Amino acid sequence: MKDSENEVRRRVREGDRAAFAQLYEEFARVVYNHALRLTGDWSTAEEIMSETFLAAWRTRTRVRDDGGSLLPWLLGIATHKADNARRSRRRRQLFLARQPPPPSVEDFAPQLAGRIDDARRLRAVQVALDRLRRQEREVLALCVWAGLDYQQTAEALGIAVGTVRSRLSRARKRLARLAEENLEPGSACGEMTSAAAIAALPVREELT
Amino acid sequence: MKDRTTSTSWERRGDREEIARLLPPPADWDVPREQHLRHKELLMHTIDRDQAIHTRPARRLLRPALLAPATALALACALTAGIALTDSDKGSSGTASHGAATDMQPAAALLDRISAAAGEHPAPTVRDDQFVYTKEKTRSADLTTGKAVLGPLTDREVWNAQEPGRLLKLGLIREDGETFPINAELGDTHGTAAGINRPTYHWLRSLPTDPDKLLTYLYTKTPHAQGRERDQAVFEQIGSLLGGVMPPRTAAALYRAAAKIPGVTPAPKARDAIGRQGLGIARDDTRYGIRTEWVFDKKDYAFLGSRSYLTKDESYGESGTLLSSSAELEHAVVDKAGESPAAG
Repeated sequence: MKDSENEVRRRVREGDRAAFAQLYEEFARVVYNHALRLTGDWSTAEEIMSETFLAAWRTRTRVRDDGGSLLPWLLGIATHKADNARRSRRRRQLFLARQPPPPSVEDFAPQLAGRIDDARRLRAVQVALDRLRRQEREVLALCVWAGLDYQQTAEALGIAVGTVRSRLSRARKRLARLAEENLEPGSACGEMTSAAAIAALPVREELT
Repeated sequence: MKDRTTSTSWERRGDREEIARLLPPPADWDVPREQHLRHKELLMHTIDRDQAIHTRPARRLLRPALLAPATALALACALTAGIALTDSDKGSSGTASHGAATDMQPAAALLDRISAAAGEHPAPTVRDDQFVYTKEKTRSADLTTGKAVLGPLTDREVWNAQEPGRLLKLGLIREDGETFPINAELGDTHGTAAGINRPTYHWLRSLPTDPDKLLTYLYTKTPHAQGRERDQAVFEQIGSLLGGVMPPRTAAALYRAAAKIPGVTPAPKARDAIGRQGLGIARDDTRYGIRTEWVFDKKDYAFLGSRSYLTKDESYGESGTLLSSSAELEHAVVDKAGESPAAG
């Protein structure tokens, strides 16, 4: 496993075309989802995905000989691009008002229903993330959602493993506190866990 | 041996699991097939080209605007032609334009006056190594909760680099005491050069000063955005160029060009972010039910600010809900980013 990963690393570093094609096929979707969770915007996520692989191509010589999967490297690039996108978005006042409707896929009726659901879920994720600081948000997205381990998350962000731990711990405390604040007696949360309920609140409101 | 976890690793695992439990499950979305293939092709193409010529690194990602210039140009021509013919023939161009030429006339007259005034201001001198400074007050609604929540009125200062070539740091932005660098546009890995996304004084001065030519140019260059009606996009593009230090002749041409966009109307009650009233110009984005208004000073026709609000009930707010507003306070040319004009 490690051997083949190191073999991929070598080929990527040497600029092997097929290795990049393989890297794209394997990880484009993961990178896209990561960018989508961090930015909450479909077209931005798509652009970040595309740009991440182009940047990977340009900076391929910086890949080390060993170190396992290249996913942390790709997600690190994508995280940086997502941060840039969020910042430049601040300058565009009307951006949020003009969020285009969910992705342009072929118009099958079941997918149409799926889109609305997608939009709600994505918004729920955004609401939760907006309550965290950027650094906590990034660690959370990599470590909890993208499935990297602590070492890989540290590698992706260029920080120490201990820092990953402390950020994650802060994120948990903050979320737990928010969950308590929002758990009012008598609110009909049903079987949802507390903060899944927070995240879902605005969505439910919208439906009524 | 079962209890092999130390207390720290237990806690660590606890953080991860606890967070996973606290948050909504992260749905996985598929990249639409067509886009997946398009970006793969772009990557492969870039690799092939770099390896073939082995000189300069990959150029920027093709923006949608560059992919459909012919359509945009055709549309611009159709619109210009439509305007020249005045009322009757509109609609034959098959666009989504809803503005009747008759609606346009009073706005056009006002914009002409504004334009004439703008042309009379003396032209400042701006060097390539300087920065254009803008101070404004802004406020905007946050929609992430699903409801429009209007934020406080905040001060914003911006320093825009005037260097014409590609830059990775385009300047500085200071908001609420926090200062951030302005990064290159997403996609411009080697930096953003002066242009429609980074309008420097000299770039603005290089624009056509004939309103028809300028409008054609703007219809061609305004980036296509998914779900955005074209006339509206160009109107907003002009809005994003207003304010700041502007060559008078360009300002004049921009105003006249705006008057030619279908659907642009006078808005006598328009106010900016700090309540200043003046000569208003507006356009309705009918698709999203949002009206954008620009306000100009009654005496010297200087651009004062803008605001946008809902014109129909939407899930996130009722008609009349303010979405964003701004008020221009000060413009200057300074030598260094972060430097206030008084010191310069």
